[in-house]
Amino acid sequence: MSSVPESPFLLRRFQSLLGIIPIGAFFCEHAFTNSLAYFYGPEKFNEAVEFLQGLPFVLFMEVFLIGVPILLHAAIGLYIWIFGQSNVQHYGYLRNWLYSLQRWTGVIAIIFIVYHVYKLRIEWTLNPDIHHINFEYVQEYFSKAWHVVFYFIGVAASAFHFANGLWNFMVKWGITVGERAQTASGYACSLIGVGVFAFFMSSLYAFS
Amino acid sequence: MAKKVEVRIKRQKDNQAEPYWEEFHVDYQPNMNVITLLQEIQRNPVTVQGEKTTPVAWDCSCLEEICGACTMVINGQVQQSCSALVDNLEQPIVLEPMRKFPIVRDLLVDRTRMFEALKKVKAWIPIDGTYDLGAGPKQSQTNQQEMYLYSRCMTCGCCVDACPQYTPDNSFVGPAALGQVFLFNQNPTGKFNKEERLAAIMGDGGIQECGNAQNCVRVCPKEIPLTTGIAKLNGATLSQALKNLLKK
Ligand code: SF4
Ligand code: SF4
Repeated sequence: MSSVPESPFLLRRFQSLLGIIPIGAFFCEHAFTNSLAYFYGPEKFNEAVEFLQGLPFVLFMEVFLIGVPILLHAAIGLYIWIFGQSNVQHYGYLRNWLYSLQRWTGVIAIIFIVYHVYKLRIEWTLNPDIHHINFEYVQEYFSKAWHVVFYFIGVAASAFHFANGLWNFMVKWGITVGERAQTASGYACSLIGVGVFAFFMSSLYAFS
Repeated sequence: MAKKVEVRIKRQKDNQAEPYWEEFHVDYQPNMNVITLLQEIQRNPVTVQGEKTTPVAWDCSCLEEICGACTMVINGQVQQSCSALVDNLEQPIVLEPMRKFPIVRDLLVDRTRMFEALKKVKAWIPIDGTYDLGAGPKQSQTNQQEMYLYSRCMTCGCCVDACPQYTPDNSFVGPAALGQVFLFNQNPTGKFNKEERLAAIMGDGGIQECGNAQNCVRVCPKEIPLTTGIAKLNGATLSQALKNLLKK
């Protein structure tokens, strides 16, 4: 890679960008669609799924705008994790905790996502009897108690990772520079994280 | 009986040897700092068990928190031993060497890596030449004031010791060197070599390794706004990298 001396830097900025666009954007869209089940009932939820599944090039988009970016983000992220060494036992500052939590929640999120995508996207696609997923299918999925717990943990980890990642993104891209701006964006990102989490939880309530 | 100060010291014969702990009781004197504790031990190296031992090795020079040489981990916190007053410390006072550097002996560490990082990022202003370059460009008071903050760095290593992204086996240049890049890029004469410095922090071990844990700014004894400098450099490095990609 010596022909592009900027590559170590750019690779990492690419990773941080992927986390926001497309992954973060998709995450928010997902929260919104799911929450329809709670706010407008199963009907609207099914309609939305129908609409999304009917989009042109949907499979292509799912693979290249969601799947591949997530895997790339995770692979580079794993490398980042191995590079550093958490030291919250010595320095218990809030930001240092967030630094370590960003790594742990990333791993929880990716485990959750792999299982989640298999169970709620791949499995029924391989089943010729099922046209596509709907409210009842998801309800059936959540009849297992551990699926509910796993969903709760997985979404909590993902929401944290997204919100804290957004905060990090703004520092890494030189947007929030001063201490005051970084504190303010910290509150804003917390709010966004809690908001997205709440939207997902509303759907969990509707499904189970 | 005179008041005693309890001290526990993590010792190590050389870089390869296994570390071990020794305890000392030192006669209390008013206004003692950790350096005077170590000097007392040096004068009379006898452990609590009454065994004679070798004097403890450590580094110090200015004794007024200006040189950074006496940095060590005191009660778990990395700091200068000259300004660590016994009256303010909980006992037993636990002394350990810094965690990220190769150990020379006991509390003495080898900070060559920090110097190498300064060389790597070109933390200087090249003004040597064959003729007198004359006075440099004028600069504003505000710029001077901002630069002054970063100019106080004494390469003590507290920041890299606390930084989770700086480990003995990776290549991160660390927050101190990044702060110096910011300083010299901000200088009106130093600006001429801005691109070289930014190029150095885009490569392996560069600014991208910072994970925003922000421990550096918490532990810096000179209260250098490292994370603000890093965030500003983030923007500058990004635009430089994109410029390079499109124009070179
Ligand atoms: S930036 Fe602060 S903590 Fe780091 S080496 Fe310089 S003076 Fe020490
Ligand atoms: S802000 Fe960056 S440089 Fe400072 S301690 Fe954190 S990871 Fe290290």
